[in-house]
Amino acid sequence: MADIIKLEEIKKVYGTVVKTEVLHGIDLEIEESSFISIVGQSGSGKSTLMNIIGTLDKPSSGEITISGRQTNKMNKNELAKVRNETIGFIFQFHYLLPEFTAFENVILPYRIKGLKPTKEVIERAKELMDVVEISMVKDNLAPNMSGGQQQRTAIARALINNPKIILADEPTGNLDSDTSSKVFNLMRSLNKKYGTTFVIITHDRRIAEETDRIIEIKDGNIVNDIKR
Amino acid sequence: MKLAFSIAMRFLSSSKAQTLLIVLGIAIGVSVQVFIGSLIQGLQKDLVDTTIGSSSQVTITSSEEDNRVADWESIISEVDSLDLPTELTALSASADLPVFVDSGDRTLSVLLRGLQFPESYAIYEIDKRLVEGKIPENRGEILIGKGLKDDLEVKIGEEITVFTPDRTVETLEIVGIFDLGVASLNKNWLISAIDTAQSLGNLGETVTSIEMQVSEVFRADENALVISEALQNPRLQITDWKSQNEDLLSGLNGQSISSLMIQVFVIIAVSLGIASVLAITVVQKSRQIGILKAMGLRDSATSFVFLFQGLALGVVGAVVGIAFGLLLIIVFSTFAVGPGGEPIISISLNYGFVMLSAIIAISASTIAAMVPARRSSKLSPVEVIRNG
Repeated sequence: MADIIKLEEIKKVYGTVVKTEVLHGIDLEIEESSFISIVGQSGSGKSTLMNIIGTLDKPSSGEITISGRQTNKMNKNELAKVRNETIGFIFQFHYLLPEFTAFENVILPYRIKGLKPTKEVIERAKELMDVVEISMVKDNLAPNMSGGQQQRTAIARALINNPKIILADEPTGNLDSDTSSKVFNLMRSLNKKYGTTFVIITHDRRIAEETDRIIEIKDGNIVNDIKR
Repeated sequence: MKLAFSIAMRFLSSSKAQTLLIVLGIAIGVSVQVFIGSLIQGLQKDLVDTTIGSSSQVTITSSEEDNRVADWESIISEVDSLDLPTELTALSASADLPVFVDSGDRTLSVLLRGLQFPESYAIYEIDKRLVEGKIPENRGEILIGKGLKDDLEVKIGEEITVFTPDRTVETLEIVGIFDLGVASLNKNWLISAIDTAQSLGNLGETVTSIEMQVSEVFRADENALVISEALQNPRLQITDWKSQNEDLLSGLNGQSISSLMIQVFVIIAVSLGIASVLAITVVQKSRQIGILKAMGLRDSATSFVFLFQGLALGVVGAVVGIAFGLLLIIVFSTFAVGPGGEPIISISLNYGFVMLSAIIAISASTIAAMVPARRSSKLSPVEVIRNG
């Protein structure tokens, strides 16, 4: 299969006076529709790598190609469009907008496109909410949902624009083990159902073991790349 | 844009207490502005009315020694046909001459004013200020001021003898008593029809002045200039009230400036309040902004979220503030009344001014929101995500 994400010689340096290089020239290709994990200790550079893949952060040097498009030379608005249409984010702390209901949160990425939600999109949102089993709390504001419900809402939100890639940063880090495995299985089934590429960042080995490919990062370098 | 607006509304409605406080702040500012502004305007209008409301605002007199304006009827019709900067509300001729009245033990010097009726009503409102009797119609009939009547101890129907500086003596019949509301005029004026004064002063067909009032009093000087250019008559002199009341004008000016100062400071205080509250909101909502940006919301759209908040706060604050201000005005006019039940100051409600206050408040709120809007557009989603 074609590579959906391609990193070449990615370096990231923080600081201007005291320079700290957190990524030392990462080369990485991720295939379309794959279900992979990036593991590493905290401070290993995995979150930085995810932010760079997600175009939230810019590398100090190196090239990134996402879905066939080089993002290095894009301006902020073009990057925003790439994020909106190609990438779905799932964060550890859910990051739903507490002022909006579950349904409104799910539909937000579509509204960010600047379009009025069509009947199809509303149907799709409902379907996604059924899949992640949050239909019964669809009119609840984010703070009135359990942690698992919030995380599942975040997953539905990440999927609403039919993105090619889902970047999940410690998606189960804040959940108990039962809910955690539910969320994980959900992501797995979505990967199969929609063919969405999942990149899961975790420090939890057990979760990583369940993915198709484990990339281990240590001190800003890829030290292990295990495919199964 | 629509999304930014609906996010702005959600942000405002999710922190109701904060929104209410800031709206109240703007509303109080606007109400103070509307109230103080209307009060000062009313005060100025009252002052101008009492000072120049019942006198000539633009006057044509003679520059010759004899003080006579000849051919006055054609001057009036010429002035009347001119296209003036501000419309004339009154235009009439008067023949004035100083006369002496014998009151038994002493001689009083008074001014006999020969006026045109009804043309001069618009200036002096003699018809309304007549306390007793009737308007003089025939030669030899006069009106006497309330004060002078008391001094001379005379009644309607009685006759008084007057003599002029060139010793013409004539007996005039009192047909009415006026009260112009100004004690010095009530003591010093006799009013007659214009022909009585003309014959007594041997003026013939001439008058001593042509008097005018204008609709916009503060533009009287512009009219004076146009008239003097149009008439081109070196024997005539055109004066306006502004050049003769510089003290009053500078007083009015001072009042306007102080009211403007109050209003400017109120706006500054309100704007600072909005800017600081919204700046705090940016910090409070930085998580939401970060996540929205991560999902692809443009920097400019996040700015609009805050601009819309400022705009909405301004609009609601202005509307509530105007309602408060009007309420204050009603309360003031109802309770701050003189002994006769009439308001101490008749507040003038100028809709243009109220609208202007609203527009200023709304634009100040929106401009104040620019600072937090800029901050929000610079916020990087990575920081929010990294810091959890």
